[in-house]
Amino acid sequence: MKKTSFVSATLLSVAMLFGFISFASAKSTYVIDTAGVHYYAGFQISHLGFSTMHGRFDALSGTIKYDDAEPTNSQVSITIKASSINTNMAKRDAHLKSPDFFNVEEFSDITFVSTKLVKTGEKTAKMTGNLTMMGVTRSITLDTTLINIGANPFSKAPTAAWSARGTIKRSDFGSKYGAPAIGDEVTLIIDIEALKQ
Amino acid sequence: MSDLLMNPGVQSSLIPLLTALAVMGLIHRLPTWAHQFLGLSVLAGFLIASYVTFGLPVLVPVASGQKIVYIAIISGGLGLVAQIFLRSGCFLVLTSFFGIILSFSWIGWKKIFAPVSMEHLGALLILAGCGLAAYKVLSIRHRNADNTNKNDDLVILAVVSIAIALNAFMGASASIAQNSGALAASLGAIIICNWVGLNVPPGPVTRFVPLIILPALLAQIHYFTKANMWPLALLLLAFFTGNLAHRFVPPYIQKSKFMRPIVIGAINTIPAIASVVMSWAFLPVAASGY
Repeated sequence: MKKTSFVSATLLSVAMLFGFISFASAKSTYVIDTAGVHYYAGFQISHLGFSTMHGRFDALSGTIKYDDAEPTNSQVSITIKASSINTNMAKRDAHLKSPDFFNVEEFSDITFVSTKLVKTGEKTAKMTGNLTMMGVTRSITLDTTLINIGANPFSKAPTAAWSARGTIKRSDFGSKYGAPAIGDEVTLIIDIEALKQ
Repeated sequence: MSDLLMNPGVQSSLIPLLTALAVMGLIHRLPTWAHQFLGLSVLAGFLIASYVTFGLPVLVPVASGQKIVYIAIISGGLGLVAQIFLRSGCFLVLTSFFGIILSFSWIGWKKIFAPVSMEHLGALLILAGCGLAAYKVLSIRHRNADNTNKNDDLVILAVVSIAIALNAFMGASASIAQNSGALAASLGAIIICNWVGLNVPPGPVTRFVPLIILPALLAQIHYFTKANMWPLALLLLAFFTGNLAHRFVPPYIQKSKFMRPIVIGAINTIPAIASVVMSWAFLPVAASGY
């Protein structure tokens, strides 16, 4: 009888402990507003050392598990469809989709999964994560800013928005064609609005 | 100088041509027994062009483009094995089949297990064409008594490489076009040497390198660009149009060391040009070069 009580008490304690942990690390899940296309994933790259070419990816999706109490515990996961590249010129887009650059038939997705967040200001943080592009995964760091979090003034839906900026070397991901005439360093710009689930 | 090295045209023509010529010059200085390896100049030309264009190869190739360098090295290795150990035509053909299937499958393995579609039919057509081409190049002999036609196969391989480069360019991939162009230029070095009478023996290494790299490039174009499969299949007919020379070209031209490669090249450009025109006609405007 005593043994049974001890086991029950232990199990109860463990359950309470897990319950506490689960409560303490409660995260809200936000999903990028793809229906409203409230996102932008763009890039900038030097063109032959003259102009800066701007491009974007038109299709992306992702979730943010946001920890209100401790934002540095938040997790971000974004998937970009490489074939949605758009530089406002169909022929250039076809070239960028080819094996010379993004090789979209072979590697359809570009993914980013955060691994660490370090707060740098009230609404800013350095976000480190694994970027997988063209089959190669590299750790990169993005400067992120929480733009706003709260109720959408029209729909009243809980909404949050972040922006992220950073630079990568495309050669780190095996994309060496045309470098350095077509820049090796690529600036990434990601702006997202996400809806709480 | 660095601007010149960065020029895609130079990277895929002058650099492999000059490299192949230089390597041939070096091997030529070695004892006579080493001359059977003059075909390694094709591999050297291709690899140097690849280095100038893409930099050092990655240790673990992930993308199809990164695998091409390793396929080139494997083709050279198989060529050497064939050169040293396999003298029988049957063994040469079987080894080349192994190399062709290996290179094509390694490039396209992600797509090979996709649901059945026309893409698989295209892959089979290309593989069958490459296999027939290897059989033709490695086993069927139409040697003239005075050996004036030993350049024929290399001319055909060079013409096909140039046409593949143009097809790749139509399919919006300059990197495949450059690789294919570099192969043609490397072969061009041996063709030129033979043309001016230096008598380079076109042994198995010379043939294995293009015969095994070309299926890899074709797989890349077929699976990963917008290029259509029919022009690629048509292009492989070039390996068989060379036979027309024996029927229609006057004997005095066939026996001319100077005129024969030009005429054979011209005959082989018929399916090559047809393939490029067909490719151009099939492609959406957006996919062609800009």
